[in-house]
Amino acid sequence: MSIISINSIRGRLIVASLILLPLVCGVLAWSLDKAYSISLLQSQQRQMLLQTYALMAAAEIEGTTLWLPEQMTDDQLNQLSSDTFAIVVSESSNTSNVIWQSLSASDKLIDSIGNGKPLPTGQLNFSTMSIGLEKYFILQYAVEWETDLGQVLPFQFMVFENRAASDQQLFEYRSVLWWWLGGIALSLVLLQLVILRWGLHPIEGLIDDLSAVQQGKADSLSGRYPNELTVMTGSINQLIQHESKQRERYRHTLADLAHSIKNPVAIIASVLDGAKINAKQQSQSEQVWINDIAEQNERINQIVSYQLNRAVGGSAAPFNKAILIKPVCEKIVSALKKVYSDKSMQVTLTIEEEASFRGDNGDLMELLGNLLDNAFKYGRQNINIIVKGSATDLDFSIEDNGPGMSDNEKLQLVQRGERADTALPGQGIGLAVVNDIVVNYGGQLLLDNSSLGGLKVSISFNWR
Amino acid sequence: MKLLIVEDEQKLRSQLSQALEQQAYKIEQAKDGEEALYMGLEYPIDLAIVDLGLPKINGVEVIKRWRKAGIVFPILILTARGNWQDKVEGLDAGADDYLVKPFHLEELFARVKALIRRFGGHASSELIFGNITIDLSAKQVALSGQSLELTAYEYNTLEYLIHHSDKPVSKKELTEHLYDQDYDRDSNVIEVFIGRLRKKLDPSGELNPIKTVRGQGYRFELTKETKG
Repeated sequence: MSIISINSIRGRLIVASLILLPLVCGVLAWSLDKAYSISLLQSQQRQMLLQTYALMAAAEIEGTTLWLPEQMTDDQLNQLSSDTFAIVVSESSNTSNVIWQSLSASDKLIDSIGNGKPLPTGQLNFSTMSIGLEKYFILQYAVEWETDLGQVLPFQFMVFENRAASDQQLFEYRSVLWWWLGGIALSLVLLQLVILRWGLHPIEGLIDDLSAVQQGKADSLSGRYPNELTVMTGSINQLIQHESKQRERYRHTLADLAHSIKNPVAIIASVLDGAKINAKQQSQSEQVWINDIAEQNERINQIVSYQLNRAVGGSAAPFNKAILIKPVCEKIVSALKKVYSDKSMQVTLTIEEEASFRGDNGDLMELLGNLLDNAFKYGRQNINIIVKGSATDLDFSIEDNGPGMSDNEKLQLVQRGERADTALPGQGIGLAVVNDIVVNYGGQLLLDNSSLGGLKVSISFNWR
Repeated sequence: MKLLIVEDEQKLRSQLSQALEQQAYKIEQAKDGEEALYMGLEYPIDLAIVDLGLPKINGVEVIKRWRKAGIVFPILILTARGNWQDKVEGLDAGADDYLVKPFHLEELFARVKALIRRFGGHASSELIFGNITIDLSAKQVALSGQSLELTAYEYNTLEYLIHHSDKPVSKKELTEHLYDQDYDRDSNVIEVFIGRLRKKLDPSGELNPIKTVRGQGYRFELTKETKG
């Protein structure tokens, strides 16, 4: 199970759910508990009030004394060890006397109750109090009783109910409530996770598709996405297609431009070559003049070739397609074997099947074409090509058994990529173009001595 | 040797034709892919120089159709852009070598000679047949180390016979490959060249380097020696 990350939408939603659900459950539980407690108390109060009314109904005034029967109709008041008992207090101006108590009050420490709270006539008081170790609800009701002689006598009816039963009822309710709420909360969390997974599934699909496009395994986002994402995926697809079409358009334009420029340059070169062949018919100054023009014509050609190559070159873009190296390499080697058929070169290809170049196909062709052409041109008989790669890395080396290069030459060849216009006439631009492509894609080029005796060119890319 | 130059740029086409004619090649010209396709299929061509950027049918397609039709002559492609995609596509279609524009005429001559030599099955440009040495690159022939004075037609006749020494070559074939298309085919000039070549290459009459195969034509009979 992956660790919840606050940087992901899923992580944030899970954290929010984990905070919110207990909070909601807690508030809900508190509200329900409160409502039930109040309801329980009100019910208790109503019941005790009825008992009080029953007492009052049974009471009779005899002279100046209030008389109540010993046995009440409510059995709870008649039994010892009952949780309910009642007393009636006569209130004079200074003192209060218990004038009656139910049979159930016999075993209660009613002396510790005192005379009760003095209340104005007609006032009702419902509260709790401790009697010994027990807690009781107490309902007090202050009344005035008028005798036959017209004398008004104050009394207080007090009904007591042990809280234990009510507390037990509340405890049981709370237990059930918390179990249920806990179960509901857990179910909601699980349900939330399922909903999250279902809701975020299209985004995860989009991420996978984007990753495939970024790794060059797909051309576009081709999955089925919900309405909320189609605008974005459509835009990304348009962007990829636009970039691809624009590059193709550049390529065609530059091909036309190359054709337009190179043909006049070729005509000039051909005229000058013709003049050089017939050098005997020219004066010395004419020959110098022809050589100067030929040199400048060659320079124009080099700059045009180099800049056209640079202009069409791609770079390490996020949506580059992955091109398998092996078929491209085999195709170029096969073509070069034809061109250099006189040399009977032995080419050893060690290329991992999955090794791929994440970039423009034209750039890969230029890269391999220039390096292999050099190896065929300068190698005597053997060429070794080793390519290793994964979805994120590519390393390849091309070595030959030609004359190799001095350290100075290696340095110059690579540095020349920075300024092709400084190249001397006759120098090729192949390695400078290779260096440019490698730099554009953030790779590394290394020129070294080969164990075969010639030059070893190593190139590495990291697409991460 | 008859070369076909396929180039849409008229100025370049005529310059190349002129330069190659000076090298004693016979030239046919085509200005677009359609014309090139027809000439390659119908004319006795020994080598074609094909620009890739052609009107009507592009160079790669022309080469593909030639090869599909069984045309085997060597093909040198010319490319303006010089990118590897174009070069590999051209070579893959059936071309044998490439040149990137602009190029030096000397390089073009060298490539043309090398392709013709390779097509004739010769690995080296210096061929030795006993005391006769032929330098295909310099177009020179020496007998016992002494340079022989051959006319361009005499040399071309000899070179053609050497490149096709696996079979008798008819007078008609020699005429088609050594002369312009509108040349009078009834002429007995080939017999005259063969006679002169025999005298120059074999003054004593002992070697008999060019044999007449009755009813079929001529065949170069000497066996090539390996250098070194």
